[in-house]
Amino acid sequence: MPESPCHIPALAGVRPGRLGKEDGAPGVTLRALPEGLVVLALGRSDRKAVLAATVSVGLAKCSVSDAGFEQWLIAGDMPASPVVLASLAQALAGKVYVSDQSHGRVRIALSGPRSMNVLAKGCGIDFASFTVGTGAMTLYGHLGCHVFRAEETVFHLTVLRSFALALWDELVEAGREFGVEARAL
Amino acid sequence: MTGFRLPRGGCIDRSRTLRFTFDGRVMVGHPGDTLASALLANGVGIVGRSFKYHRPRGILTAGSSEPNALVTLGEGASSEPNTRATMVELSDGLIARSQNCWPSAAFDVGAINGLLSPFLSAGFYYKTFMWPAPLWEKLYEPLIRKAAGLGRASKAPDPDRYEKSWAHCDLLVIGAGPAGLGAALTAGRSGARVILVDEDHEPGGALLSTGGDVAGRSPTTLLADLVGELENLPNIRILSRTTAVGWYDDNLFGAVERAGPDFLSTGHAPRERLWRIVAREAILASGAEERPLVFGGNDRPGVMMTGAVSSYLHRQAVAPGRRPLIFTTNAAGYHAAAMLEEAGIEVSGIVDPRTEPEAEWRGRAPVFRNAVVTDVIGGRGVSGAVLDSEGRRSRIDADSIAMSGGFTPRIQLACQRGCKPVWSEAHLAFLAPERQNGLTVAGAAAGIEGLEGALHDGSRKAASALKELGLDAKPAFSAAPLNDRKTYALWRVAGTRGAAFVDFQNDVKVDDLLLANREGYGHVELAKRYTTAGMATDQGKTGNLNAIGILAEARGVTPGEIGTTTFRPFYVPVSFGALAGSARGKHFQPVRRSPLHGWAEKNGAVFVESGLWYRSSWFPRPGEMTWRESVDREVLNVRSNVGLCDVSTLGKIEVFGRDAATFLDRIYCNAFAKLPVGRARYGIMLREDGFIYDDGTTSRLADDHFFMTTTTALAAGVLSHLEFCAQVLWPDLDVRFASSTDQWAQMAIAGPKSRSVLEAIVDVDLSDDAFPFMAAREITLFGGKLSARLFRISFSGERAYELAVPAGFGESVADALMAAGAPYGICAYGAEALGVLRIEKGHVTHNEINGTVTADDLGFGKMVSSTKTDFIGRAMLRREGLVSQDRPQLVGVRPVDPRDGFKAGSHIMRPDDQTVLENDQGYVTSVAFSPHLGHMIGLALVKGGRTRHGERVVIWNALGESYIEGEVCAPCFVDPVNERLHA
Amino acid sequence: MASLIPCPHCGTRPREEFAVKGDAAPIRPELDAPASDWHEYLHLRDNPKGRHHEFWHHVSGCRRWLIVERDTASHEIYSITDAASAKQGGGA
Repeated sequence: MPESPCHIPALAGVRPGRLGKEDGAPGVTLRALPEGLVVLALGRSDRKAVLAATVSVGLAKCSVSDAGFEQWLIAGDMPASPVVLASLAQALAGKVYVSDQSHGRVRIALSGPRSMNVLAKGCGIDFASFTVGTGAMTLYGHLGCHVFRAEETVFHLTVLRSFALALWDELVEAGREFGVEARAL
Repeated sequence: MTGFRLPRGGCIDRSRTLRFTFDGRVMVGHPGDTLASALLANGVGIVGRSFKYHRPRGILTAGSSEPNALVTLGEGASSEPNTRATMVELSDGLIARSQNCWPSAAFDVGAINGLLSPFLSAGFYYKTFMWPAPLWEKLYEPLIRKAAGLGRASKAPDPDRYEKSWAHCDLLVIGAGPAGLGAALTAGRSGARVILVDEDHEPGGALLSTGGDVAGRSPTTLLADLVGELENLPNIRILSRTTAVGWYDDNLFGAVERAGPDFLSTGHAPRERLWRIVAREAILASGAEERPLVFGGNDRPGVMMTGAVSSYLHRQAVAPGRRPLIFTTNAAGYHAAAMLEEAGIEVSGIVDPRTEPEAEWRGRAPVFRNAVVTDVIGGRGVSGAVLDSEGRRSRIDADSIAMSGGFTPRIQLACQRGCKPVWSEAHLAFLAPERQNGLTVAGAAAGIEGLEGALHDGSRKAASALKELGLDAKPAFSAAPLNDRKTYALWRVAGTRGAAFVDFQNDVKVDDLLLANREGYGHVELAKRYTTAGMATDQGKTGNLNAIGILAEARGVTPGEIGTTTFRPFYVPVSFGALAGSARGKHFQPVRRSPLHGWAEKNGAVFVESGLWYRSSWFPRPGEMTWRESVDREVLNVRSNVGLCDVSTLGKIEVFGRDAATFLDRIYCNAFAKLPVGRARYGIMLREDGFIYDDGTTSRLADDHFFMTTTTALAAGVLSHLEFCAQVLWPDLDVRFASSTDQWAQMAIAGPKSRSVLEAIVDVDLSDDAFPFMAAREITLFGGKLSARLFRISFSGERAYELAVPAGFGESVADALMAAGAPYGICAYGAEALGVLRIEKGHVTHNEINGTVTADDLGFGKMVSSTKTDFIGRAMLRREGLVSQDRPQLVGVRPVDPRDGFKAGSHIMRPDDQTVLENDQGYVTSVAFSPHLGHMIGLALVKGGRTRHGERVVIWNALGESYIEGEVCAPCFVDPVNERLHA
Repeated sequence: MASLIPCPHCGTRPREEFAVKGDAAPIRPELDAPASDWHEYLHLRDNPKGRHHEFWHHVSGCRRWLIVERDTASHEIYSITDAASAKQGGGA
């Protein structure tokens, strides 16, 4: 019997360190977030109910945000066991279906004083009305991604795994003129 | 030869010098110079040669509408042709060259064209096309092609970076002259989000080149006050060096921002940035374009606009000459005269065709009333002018001429969404509607006179615009000065001897316009194309209204009845770089990587692009020289041992819902509602017109949970189709979808030894009873350490399984399988071998499912349900044309001589038939070399093919000059009874 | 084509987030409808200058199919509703 399989993060190969403009403080920081939990909840419900179910199965640290019509993205740094995922499905059963996307999507944190400038280079949403805690499915350049405003200048971008490196590269390009601090896992 | 730098004044930094070269000559300038002002300061008169006639040309303006001073900047890969010298901020080491001349601007062999001018008049392109016909291809076309264009583009890749960005605001203000500044300040003080854009490198507009008093202060002080306040308001973003180029639906604006003179190709900033600005309201405060006067020799070096003279004097302390002559129909000429005299320059005279010139002229220069300049004296520069005053001609000395025919409001942007401007006799101008669809025109662009008038107009219009948004704003400037309008129409001077130019860049003269009208091309749109007036890179900004006026007079109508040509984006030429942004080279399109990409790479895969995906195509081993060697080996090994292939790119969709089974039953042409949990089924999805759309294998994991696969290419299309059906056709069904293509790394383990390999890692009984063909289950691996899904399905025709594991574990599991498979001779195989194996078995892909085939055409007729009441495509499938047995049907095809090869796309013909379309029997859809058979095989769609097995045909490819003897056969070349599935 | 689309679920978004399918007026025929009805549903389209209804899919947003009432000449959008909700009789 071969040994245990090991998990290789999608962004394992990114170049860490200072990129782009060298002098001064970096305008943005890019951080590959841990591949913990990403779940899509689909069904006729509301955010409150989805949040309540999430908390009830012990996933209180996860964010719950809008991901489209009758769709929510539940995301957090810690992976959930199949048992917990099953409990979540159970808690939402009858109205909302749960699709585990913990491997299918990858999260990148974009932060820093110039994070909104970098966001604006690819995303056409008006972030003035995008308050902390808001999430939305949209485009960054040509890549579909979910944007979640975790803090005033901290955004979590969630993208299909197969495009994770492509999105990372786009963000580095967009951040070059401000100086990028890149943090791998 | 006449320009020079004044010893004092200007907004230049005389403490620093910048060295630059023009046509190889080293010159110096200062920060604050443009290339144009620096050339003038260095006494350069001739900066290029005109397009058709190669006439020497000098600098006409000080801004964006410059038609003459087009130079090539830079060298090699960075060289940029047709750059307006008036818009280039001087930098140290700048290299510039004149265009359209050889060997130099000063002495140009091409000037001989001037002698040919009678033959090169308007419409000559059109006329050469007509007669004599043979000369077009042999003589005219090559000559015209060589002469075409002004500058030459570099063919090397562009080394600079470009970017794009979005921006949002409550109020976009286009133009930072007095009207724009008034608007921005009004809006800014109210707290609204404002974006202020201006083409110049600093705000100010007309305030940058004016003397006198504005709103009780000098223009310089006023400007400093306004900008100072604006810069301190956090809700205002000022974008300098930014040209608004287009107005689009929903008040979306395009604007191009240029880097400043300190731009470095090796730096981290982009050279240009394309802004897409979403504005709730916008103010167009773009000012007005000064019009040239049309007289003989008005294109000579040394003839300039009065506004340009004022600008060069004020901003760069550069004078046009030591003895300038002013020719003007309005106050602008007098302002320039005053500034020149203040700088100590002797103005030789002010020529004014009006009877009542400006009452306040108190300068030294003599004013010639009721007079016009008919001709310039001089060829390569100005040495004097011919005046005509009520019929009497005289000569006057001058070394330069500053002219002003009036001001044309810059309304282009406001007319880009379809509205036609309206002629105003009072303004002697075409005006856009003051307000339409969220865009308000203000200041000189709206025909408002004077700088104070502009401040006021911009302020109150901004307040009105904000009111539309429910925001309260108090106009920053509210004194309404008198609108003292005096206009004088002089579209062209009569009685000129020399050529009088209307469009400078395209060398269009008055005579050309008159000729166009005589020949029946007097309509404004026809005259434009016939003469090419307005068609150069400057889009006729300086000359268009003169052209319209001349046409109006020729036809005896008003300019309003002539009208303007249609305005369209872009307002100025925009580089392809800006439009591409960062999407070039490696970033042209995103690279889509399979979760097994790392595994494939380290096993030496050669990749192929499949849409955005990179798919492993084959895995060469040391010693293998061609792809065929590798692929043949992989194919043979899969059928004799076992192989591992990455199939992660195929679409995967989770289908949830109480009505999921019902829904799938309506989507597929075969039955799915009763598919048992734990089973997979091959499904064919039709289009509503009865033709096959896509195929895949769908498994039932629970009563209300199905797992669907699609082809790689149509994964996105199928999901959209499912959503359309669920939301638009049957919204009452409870069904939801989630794409899981990226969630699972999916690998095929195929071959007679596949079970043995898998048994090493799976926690489930793989005996045929426990895990039969088409079983589909959620399982665990490595003693419960990892959840996975296992499907016993086969694309290769061998005993095979597909294993799906969470993507992050994909590489590790693939490694484990390769290790477990080593004793069994496992090999990695790629898309090429996958293709050969499936062609050997006659399994179809989108080569066969090409949008023109039905299920029956491919031999799946029996799969189509006859009992289901509704499924997509059911109704149209019954059309007589789709059930005919004469249709192209799937067959195999083999060469009679096993050494012959053939290509997909070849036609199937009967050996004795004439090769005409009516005799076409079909075509080859897929080909492969089968290492099992030792020859090439193919799949084809042949008319009534199922009844023609054994028939001899010609595999016909005229493009490749290949006509192979072939034989139609059953579409399966290996193991036709499918024994190996259970081996 | 309009540049900024007011999706009823997501707010105003750039048009690049959407895919346009076409005329929303044709209704899928009943199961027993004659072939001519199906031919019209699949192959025949009016091409009006002016207001008409279209199916738009918010591909890069909520992934809902929407019915957009748009003027083909001026590009102005008059209304935009969720297709499923419209069919089921609700608003959105």
